[in-house]
Amino acid sequence: MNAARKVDDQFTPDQAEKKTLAVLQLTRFGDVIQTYQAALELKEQHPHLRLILIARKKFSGPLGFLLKNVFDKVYALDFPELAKSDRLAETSKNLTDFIAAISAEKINVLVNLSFSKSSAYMAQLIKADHKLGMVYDERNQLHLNDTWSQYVYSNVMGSAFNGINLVDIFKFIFGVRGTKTALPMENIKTTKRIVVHAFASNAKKRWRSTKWIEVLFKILRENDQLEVVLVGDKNEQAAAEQIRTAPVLDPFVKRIRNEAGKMNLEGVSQLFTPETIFIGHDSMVGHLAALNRSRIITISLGTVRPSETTPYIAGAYNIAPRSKCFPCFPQDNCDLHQCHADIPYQVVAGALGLLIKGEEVNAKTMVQATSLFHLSSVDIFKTEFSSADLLDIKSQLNHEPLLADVFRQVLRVTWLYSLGGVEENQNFPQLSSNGHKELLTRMAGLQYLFELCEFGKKYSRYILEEISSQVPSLGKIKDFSKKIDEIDSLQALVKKTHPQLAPIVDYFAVAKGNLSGENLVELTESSFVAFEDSRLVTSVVYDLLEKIVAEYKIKTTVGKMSKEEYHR
Amino acid sequence: MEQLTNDLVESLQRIHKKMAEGESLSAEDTKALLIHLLAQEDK
Repeated sequence: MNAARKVDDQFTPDQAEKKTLAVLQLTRFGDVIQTYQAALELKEQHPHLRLILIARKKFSGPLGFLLKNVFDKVYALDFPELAKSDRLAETSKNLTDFIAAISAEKINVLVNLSFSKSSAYMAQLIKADHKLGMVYDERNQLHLNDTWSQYVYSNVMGSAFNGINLVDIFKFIFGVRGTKTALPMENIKTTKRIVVHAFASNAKKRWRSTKWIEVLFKILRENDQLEVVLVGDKNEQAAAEQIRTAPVLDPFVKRIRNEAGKMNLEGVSQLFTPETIFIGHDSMVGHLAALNRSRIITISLGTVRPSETTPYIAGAYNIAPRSKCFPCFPQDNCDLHQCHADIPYQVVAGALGLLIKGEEVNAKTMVQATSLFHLSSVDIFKTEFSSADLLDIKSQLNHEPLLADVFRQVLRVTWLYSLGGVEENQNFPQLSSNGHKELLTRMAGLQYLFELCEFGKKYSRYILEEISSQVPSLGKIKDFSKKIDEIDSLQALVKKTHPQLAPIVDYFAVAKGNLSGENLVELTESSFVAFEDSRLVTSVVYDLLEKIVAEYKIKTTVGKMSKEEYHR
Repeated sequence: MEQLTNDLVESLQRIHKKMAEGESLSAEDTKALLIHLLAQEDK
């Protein structure tokens, strides 16, 4: 039986052959939109795939106007409704019915993009032929079967050194590449409206209102035709009204609208026309602006990682502090909020003013708009798609990169190559003398890590040789296994002395915790391969740092030469 | 959610005991864990 129809030289699977991919995304608005952006590309490249989304009703409901473009069905988890009886037995029955309805979809692949404990338990309960992302088994063991989910668990959740945008990571997990569905920003030089989202999901990520008032005062005074629209949810309505009615903004109050809590998300999305600029903290409103190709300035504070969550469009700006503690983790206590102070309102107003006039935001224009003093504690990034069609952020100011930024860049190139098979070119970072010394110290740590990987391979090989010997000795196998445990402990110590190497150590700890194999031979072979991969990644990072150091030495030597010496 | 929370206390104690003893969890156990986590996240 011919199960395919031939249409214009392309084979289209019959209905019975259609595959179903379900995406589990139980986290917040921004994550749902980023999942949507990745799924858009998946649908574009595999139009015959049936796509299902499982998300929380409070986040998927208001985004229904978007989600319907790509998902064939959305299962909305309404926990308050499920639990309305306030009894466990009834709630459990309702949950069973919800999951049974999803499982009846005959899912070929379930992809958990939530990376939370609750989602990992839900993923266990949903029936699917294959599962990607976090999944707990019946023994409460956590499984991450695919490399990119292991990367997210170790490098995104566990460190601040991820340099890859989440939409691109989601695409890698889906197994798609490309940017056909990522539309370019509108090239508009006139601005009629600024949409401001001055709020965020927690206090660390947002400025106090006084700074926003300063920014708006400057912008409204300098642009007498401009309209400002404050957006947010119902809980932010009062705070938005406080901004709007600040005494210093009184001369401009007729040009400020407070739409916080009054518009649904579709209404907010419709605010973004080509002549609109969005400015705000890291939130889903910026992602909505990107989907509508509006100009964007994001102010990143607290736990926000600009390289991960900046809106997925080329030409967007992201202003981040150069504070040592930035970005922090949710569990870090902080009352000082140094990162908030390190972004002067003058910088934000200056960047916004340039964008309103249709000018570029770069070192030259920002020095004219503000001052070197104000710019010393910030960085301004601009997004672009790299040669590998992946979103990247590039500094627009001429600061020496922070050590963390150098490592983020080097690790990005390394992980894209070793996990994604992608070769991406990057410019050499401009090191200072201190940066050069720091890199040399980290390279010593890499050498140590490399040696530990070699030992790991050696003892894995010894176990395999012992198993295949005439009379395998259980005692020897146990001793070799203990050595491997010691190596794992020593690698964990490397993290403490060289925190920039934690992403490598953590990734391979997760990889080794998810080794494939049904018996000791298969597990040991997987262990050998994991140590070999770890050795390769370590050597790639070492090579890249070596090149950066060599480039620094060349520039320093040429810089010290006189003109005559150089031309000789 | 008060009654639900009280119902969960007994289930969670039983589940944690199973985990400590290395026993497998049933589907009902997993659902109880999931309900507990969803309730926490919904606050």
